[in-house]
Amino acid sequence: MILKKREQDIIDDFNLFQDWSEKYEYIINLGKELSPLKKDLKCSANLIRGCQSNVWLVPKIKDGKIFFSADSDALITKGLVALLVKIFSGANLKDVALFDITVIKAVGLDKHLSMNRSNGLGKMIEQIKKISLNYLKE
Amino acid sequence: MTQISSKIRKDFPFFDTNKNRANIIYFDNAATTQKPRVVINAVSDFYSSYNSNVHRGGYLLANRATEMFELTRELIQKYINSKSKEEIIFTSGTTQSVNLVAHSFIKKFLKKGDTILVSKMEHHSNIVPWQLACKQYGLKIKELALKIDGTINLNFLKKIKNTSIKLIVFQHVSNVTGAENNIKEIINVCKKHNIYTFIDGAQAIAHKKIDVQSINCDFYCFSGHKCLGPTGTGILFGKKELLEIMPPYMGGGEMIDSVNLQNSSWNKLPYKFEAGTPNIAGFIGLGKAFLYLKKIGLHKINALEQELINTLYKELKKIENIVFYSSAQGSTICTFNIKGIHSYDLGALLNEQGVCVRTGHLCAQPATKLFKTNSFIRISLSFYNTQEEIFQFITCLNKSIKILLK
Repeated sequence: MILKKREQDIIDDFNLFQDWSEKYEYIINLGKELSPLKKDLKCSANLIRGCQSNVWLVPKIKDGKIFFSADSDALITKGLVALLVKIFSGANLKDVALFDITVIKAVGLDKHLSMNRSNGLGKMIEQIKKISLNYLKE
Repeated sequence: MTQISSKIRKDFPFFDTNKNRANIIYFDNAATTQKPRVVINAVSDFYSSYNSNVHRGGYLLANRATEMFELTRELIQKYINSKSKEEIIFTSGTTQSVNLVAHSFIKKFLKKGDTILVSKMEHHSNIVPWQLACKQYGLKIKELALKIDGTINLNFLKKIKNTSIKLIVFQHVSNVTGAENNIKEIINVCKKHNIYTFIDGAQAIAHKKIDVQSINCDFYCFSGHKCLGPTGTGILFGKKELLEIMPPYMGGGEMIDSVNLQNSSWNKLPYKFEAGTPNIAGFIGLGKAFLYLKKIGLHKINALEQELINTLYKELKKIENIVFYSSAQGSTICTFNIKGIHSYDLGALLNEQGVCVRTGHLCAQPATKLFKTNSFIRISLSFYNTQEEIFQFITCLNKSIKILLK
């Protein structure tokens, strides 16, 4: 399944890193690869509010597949949402809605960036699945 | 000074170099302080050798618990120079102290249409309880004018003509900038206008001399865990003549005199406000914290802290594009941002290097807006921090900035 494969690619990348700073540089660079979000899309409807940083996540559906674009005001948070976009964007709605993400734990990110409200990572994952589920029901 | 500092550090098991915490740099002392061994031992000793409930049992163990528990009240009464032990109410922390006054005092002393003055610099704990009470009792909140550094504008207070203003609530020291309000002068002005005064001393108690008689405030409160004591301990000082008229805040055991099914009468002060079994171990520990503070002495504490903060500013000023929200004088709090970098990113990378600092809105969203930002990085020092830690922190900070500006 494509989602599993994408997760594995990221895990393989992480296995190459020697220390924490390389992991962060990788995450930050993922964020920089995101295409910029138009200003009017950075609205409250697309906002996932973390305790400290904000994320905007915009879904688009085409041929039963879901695509995400995203942005954040903090670099690391932007990298984290980019990591999720990298995994989920372009996949089948049903796959996204049902997928249990394991990459965060597998690469040890949970130990670095607690899945807490400061970066809203947990909320981002929840939101991605919720959006997909809602479209499926339609 | 360095020698004094390393001797003091040995009093804190947290910094014991034999543990894996050796690399931690703890710079979040405004959130909570580390605890000296005497405090930890006192808590442990209570549970292991004389655990029993206070003010009830007529047996030896319970008497000892009560004695030790009440000793803390006496120590704190003397430390802040209040007139009597009856004015020292044990609470769970600053937040509960605010809530107690926001309900009990307001119920008796303010009436519908009255106004409370609150400043935008306050911690959420000194805003939200007043908002809730205002909704419940039909009162208004008005903004207290500030000077550019976030301290209270005395000229505004002097010109007050609005006679509906009955209470002013403000912080002694800001948790955002560390700036100190001139509380004595503010209270002087308020007394002339017959305005009651409530002071949040959470950020002052570990660093400033507090003399509630000389300040002449109506209420002053703080948390025990911010001045070396256990969490879940707090103090509310209130003037006896006010506390006596105020109705109980919570009902339950301890706070009663006699009870029948329809009516009860209340215990005397301070117990009227201390329903239920209190945090006995915590308050016994808090007593030791104050004894320890007294032993080191505020004079020495301030000297050590000023030396640390001077080094911190000297080193931080070398960093390009740094913007300060605090100043080096007389405060242990240093708040800043680095232009073009989100404080969350810096905090996350500092955390990776074992540096504990606070980032975000610091539980003071109105203050954050006042300084036209979304978040801050806050360093808050304590006398047990060291010069070496500051230099190590600067290295970590530079490394983080380098990663983020790549």
